[in-house]
Amino acid sequence: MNARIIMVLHSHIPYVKRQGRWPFGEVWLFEAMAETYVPLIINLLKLDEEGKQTPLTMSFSPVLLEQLNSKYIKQEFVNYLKERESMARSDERYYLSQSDLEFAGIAAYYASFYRDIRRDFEIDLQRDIIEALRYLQGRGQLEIITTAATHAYLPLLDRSDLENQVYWGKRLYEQVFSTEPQGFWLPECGYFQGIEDVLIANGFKYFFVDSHAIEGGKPLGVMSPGGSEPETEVETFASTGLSTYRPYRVENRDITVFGRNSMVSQQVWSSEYGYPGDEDYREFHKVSPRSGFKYWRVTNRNHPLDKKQVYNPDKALLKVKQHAAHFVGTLKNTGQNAIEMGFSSPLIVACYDTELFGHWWWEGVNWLSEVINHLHNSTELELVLPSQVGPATYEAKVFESSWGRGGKHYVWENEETAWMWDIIRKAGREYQNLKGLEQETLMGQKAMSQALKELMLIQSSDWLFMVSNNLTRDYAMKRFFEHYTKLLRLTNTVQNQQFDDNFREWLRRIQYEDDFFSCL
Amino acid sequence: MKGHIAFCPHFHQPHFQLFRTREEAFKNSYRPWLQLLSQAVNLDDFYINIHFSGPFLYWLRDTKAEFLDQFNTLLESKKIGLLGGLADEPFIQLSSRPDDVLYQMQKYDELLTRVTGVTAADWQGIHLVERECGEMLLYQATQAARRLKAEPIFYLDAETFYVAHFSYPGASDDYCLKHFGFKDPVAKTTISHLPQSLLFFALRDEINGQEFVCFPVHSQFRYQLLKKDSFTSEDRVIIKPKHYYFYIKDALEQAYEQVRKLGKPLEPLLVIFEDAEKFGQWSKDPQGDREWLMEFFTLVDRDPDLKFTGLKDYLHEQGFLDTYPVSSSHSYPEWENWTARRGIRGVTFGDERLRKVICRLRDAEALQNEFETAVLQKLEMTTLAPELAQVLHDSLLASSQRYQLVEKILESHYPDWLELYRVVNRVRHLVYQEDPKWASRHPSYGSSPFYDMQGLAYLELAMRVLTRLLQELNISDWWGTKVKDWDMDGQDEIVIENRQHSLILDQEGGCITYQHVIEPQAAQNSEQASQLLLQDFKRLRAYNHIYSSSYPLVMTESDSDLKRQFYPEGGRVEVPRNSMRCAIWIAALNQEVAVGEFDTCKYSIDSVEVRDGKTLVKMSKQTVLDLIGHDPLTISLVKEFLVDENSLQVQFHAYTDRVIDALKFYMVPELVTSASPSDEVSFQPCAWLGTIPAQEGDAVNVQLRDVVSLGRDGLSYFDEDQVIEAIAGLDYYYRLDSADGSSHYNMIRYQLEGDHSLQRLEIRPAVSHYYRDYVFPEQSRLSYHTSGLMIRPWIPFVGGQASLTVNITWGFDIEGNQELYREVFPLIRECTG
Repeated sequence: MNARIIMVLHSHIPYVKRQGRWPFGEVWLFEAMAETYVPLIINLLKLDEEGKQTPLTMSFSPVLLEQLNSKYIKQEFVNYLKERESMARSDERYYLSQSDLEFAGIAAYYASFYRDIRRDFEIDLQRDIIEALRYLQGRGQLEIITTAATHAYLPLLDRSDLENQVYWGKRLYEQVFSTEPQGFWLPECGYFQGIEDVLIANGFKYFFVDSHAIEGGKPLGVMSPGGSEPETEVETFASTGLSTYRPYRVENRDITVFGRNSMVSQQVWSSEYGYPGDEDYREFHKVSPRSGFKYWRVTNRNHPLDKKQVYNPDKALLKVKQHAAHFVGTLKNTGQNAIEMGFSSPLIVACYDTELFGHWWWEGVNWLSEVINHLHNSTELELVLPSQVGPATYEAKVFESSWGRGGKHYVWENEETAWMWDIIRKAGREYQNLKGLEQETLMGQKAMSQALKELMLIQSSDWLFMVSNNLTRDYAMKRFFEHYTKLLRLTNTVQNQQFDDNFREWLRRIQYEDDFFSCL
Repeated sequence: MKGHIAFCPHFHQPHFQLFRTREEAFKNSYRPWLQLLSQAVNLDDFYINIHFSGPFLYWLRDTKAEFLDQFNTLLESKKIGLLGGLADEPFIQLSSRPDDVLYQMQKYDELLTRVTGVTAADWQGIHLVERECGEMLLYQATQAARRLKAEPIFYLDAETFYVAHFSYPGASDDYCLKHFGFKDPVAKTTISHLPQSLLFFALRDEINGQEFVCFPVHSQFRYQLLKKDSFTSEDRVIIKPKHYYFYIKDALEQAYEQVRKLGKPLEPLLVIFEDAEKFGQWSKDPQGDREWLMEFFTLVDRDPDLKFTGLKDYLHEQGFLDTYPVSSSHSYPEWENWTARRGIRGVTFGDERLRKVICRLRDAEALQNEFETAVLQKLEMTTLAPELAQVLHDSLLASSQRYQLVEKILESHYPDWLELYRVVNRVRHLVYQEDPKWASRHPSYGSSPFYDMQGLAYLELAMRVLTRLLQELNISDWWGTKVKDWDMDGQDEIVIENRQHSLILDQEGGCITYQHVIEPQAAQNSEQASQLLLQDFKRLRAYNHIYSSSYPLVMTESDSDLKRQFYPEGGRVEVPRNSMRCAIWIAALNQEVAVGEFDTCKYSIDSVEVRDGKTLVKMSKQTVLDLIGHDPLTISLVKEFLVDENSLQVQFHAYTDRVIDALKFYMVPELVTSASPSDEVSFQPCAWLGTIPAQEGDAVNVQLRDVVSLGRDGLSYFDEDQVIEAIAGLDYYYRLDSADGSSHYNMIRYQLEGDHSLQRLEIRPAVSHYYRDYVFPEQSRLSYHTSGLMIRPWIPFVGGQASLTVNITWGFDIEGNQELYREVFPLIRECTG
């Protein structure tokens, strides 16, 4: 038996560079770097050094790549790690002085963690995560794909905005990796019929959708963790008789679509029985008011925060091994079932947010490494890259869908966000109106270039998600309005061609603040 | 930022180390070190501070001249600094004498100067044994250094200087809250203190006005050197040179930033202290380690912000940060747990076997003191008033230069004794060496009593040489029998000493805790003993050979079967098996049970008599037993020890106040010796027992336990039972193979006499486990070649009583001919005999 596994990790952090530090802003990126990206990449490099095959598919949003590549972010990340280490040492001394050896031990554990991440970042990665990704891709250990430029929710965008997002997503990727991307990650797996034409026009060969987009039935509807998930009407999609065990060619189009496997996704994502909710794993939501460190374990998913017990890293690591073995067992069973259903070499596509591992699920990176180790040693399962899967021989008509709750667009378009969509579309139109005008002055060209950046920042799906879920809503609205205000001034000025000193100075400032997409 | 790195590897092999172990270390570590150094000295910024321990240097001097030649050539590069230290790597703070520290340092200076040409004035610093020190040692070492014109620069563990945290008011150690019920508002320290991140500078201190400088050693930088594995279970990477370099630079940068806050523009220094053997010998990968270190050296060399330096050179260039006194009672963090936070004195006095070594050293020191006092009194001080002369005598004896003083007097007044005095003092120092105290009690290193056994073999001879000198000074009452608290446990022991024999009888267990015998000729002919010492100490090697003249028969290891545990998480006493313990066993309903704790209880000393040069000691114990289904039964056990110059007789007699037919009683004496075979070259030790047939008597069931098999895959153990014809005794042979090519057997004869037939005889290692469950299982297990032999004859009670007389004699360097015996029991299977 030989089941093939495509493991897709989608990585994205909104553009937060110089957009506030804490509690909202750059710290999100630094947390993801410290807890997810650096340890994950170091683990992949270690597996590579050990001669193990770790073919993973990873997507990186262009805004994230830009930030990872930024000298400013690199330096600030090192400062952040030093601050965390120092804070952990301070916690350790405090708990020792209180004779609380258990908490002191965890504080020491955090201090070592941040010191070693700094060591990994500075020494092993030479502060260059992108270079490590290039290396791993060159070694065939990774297939890196791209996504929408600022992670816009594509199904609801106007055509020209959609084309911009896809085009610049590709350009950015090419600039960073010096090669053409083969695959495209639809933000939030958001699909509508017609999007494939834009992808094909940009040379993409494949993309991913949620399972119900292929198979029909009830969507899994799991969003990124941390959301409060409001009541949603869940549509049941017509059963198609198709299966995610094989790739498909989109009906009458020359592009492949892979469907996410519901079983393996639920095993990790499910809030009821997913691994991250195990009693021994670190509790994400309870933080120390002294330092922000998390000293507790889940204990019981249903317990209130004041009933959480102290975390034990060693015990959690033991659980990681058990869960990794269990997951691989699930993959084997799933593969076996598929074979019994008549799929000779079934494909199991497992898609996750990269930040789930390490950031949300503290032990997740270790779990992932264990799983990869198991798969490396398995004779029944094979980790493959999308480009290694042969051409799709079957056709599918794909449902309009997303992996958000309800299976369609509700999470991003609802009564809370309707006004945002009005602005997004209006802003797009305003930009498009000006785009046709030729800018004769350098200042005019600069202003238009910056206007495109601001436009794309407005379109980021993150603000919609945060407002929908009432998560850091104030920050999201602030960012949304700031970028829109900037765009308005830019378009007005371009319209009026009034490039005075005041404007020049202001432009210089916002170019500094929102200085991504240097290729623009 | 300019950060300095003082790399300080410590090279050490103890006196009495097994030949093969040393040679292996030489191949895997020391020779590769030379290769590494010859490469490293070509780097622009390379500098290393090397400490060779005294025992290591003696060994190099005696056997590895070419190594020293090459090393001395490398010294010309001026990129290698040497550290001073102590000649025998001893825990000299355990000594009772005020002059031993200076002596140790002076001898080290002489040795190092002789083999490298580097004098004390050129030392980059001074290595204190295991960095274990109290204020007294720091004071004495500082004084001694100054006398030798060395600068008193030490490195000590960083934990010596600071505590990582302070108690907050309201914490569990707020004693105000504990005792009086309110938080102590001023529980916080008011004393200025430095954070750990500032302990990267020279720190000045003074004790009794003696100034010295210390450099903190940070333990986290010790553990990561050459670590080719991840540091913690959570860590994802194997420690590589670039990681180690990262940690070092990071620490130095933090220190640099901190010191600026103090307004002092000093450049920080980080001391890397490491056992040299970690390179190559521990990993068995010299090439990999060499590449690792060279890569690390190169990284530092290429970094304009970092440079290697000598400790003294740094001090001269940068000066010290401040006066910051050490808190010396908290040294050596690695020791905190297993020493129960009691330091080296806690280790030695908390362990009965080590305590015996110290007690015997005290005897030797008392003897030496007597000799020195006598020598001083022979000095003519006629011009002085008697009171002044007495004060002068006392002052001289209390001086740190006492040894030098006596040496000078002997030189001018008793030149024939000078060399003997020197060697006797040296032997005493040797017995303080650290390894048997530290390593043999460390949970990770296992039992290695042989270091102490050999030290004692020399010490006992040295004591006899001193006794002869005292006799020549007309002081001859040293030998004899004394009742005194020899082991400082608060109760008396009986100490019996004569020319050939030293023996200590303890009331606890009514047993022999220490027995040492001297070969008759060496004992009678003091000149022979003197020559032996002089010869062996000229070049310290071929240690096993000393056993043809001097041997510790009873110096047994701690025995886990005798452990007393007070509470599960700690608090225990583990005592050695010793010899001539005796238990009373009852057999009933297919069960055998020891009763009355006769093997460990306290005995009364009934009489101590000396007749015709022989000492007769009588001890007894009476216990009333409550036996289920029976009226109380009184059991008495009497032991009579007759100690002669070259023999020992022990009579055991046990009796009950009435006879209970339903129960079978046995008296089971334990004839124990720590005498063990040793093969320091090929590690193939050999020991066996030969039976002495009896004219008549019952067949004996011989139960051999834990017979050793030395296979390729390591040790394995077997039990064997055999029924043989009646025996009158057993001869125990143990072979001693020495690195000088000599090989000989020693023998102990146990003759058994009694009214009752011997039907069962148990033969097992003297100690089967030491510190069981506290050290690694494979280290906990001991056997014939590590602990010696225990013979347990089971003597049945007949008519309410049982008795046995055991006559013990011994022989040195005798032919072990198995063909002379009716039965032979090899205790180590592959031993060829």
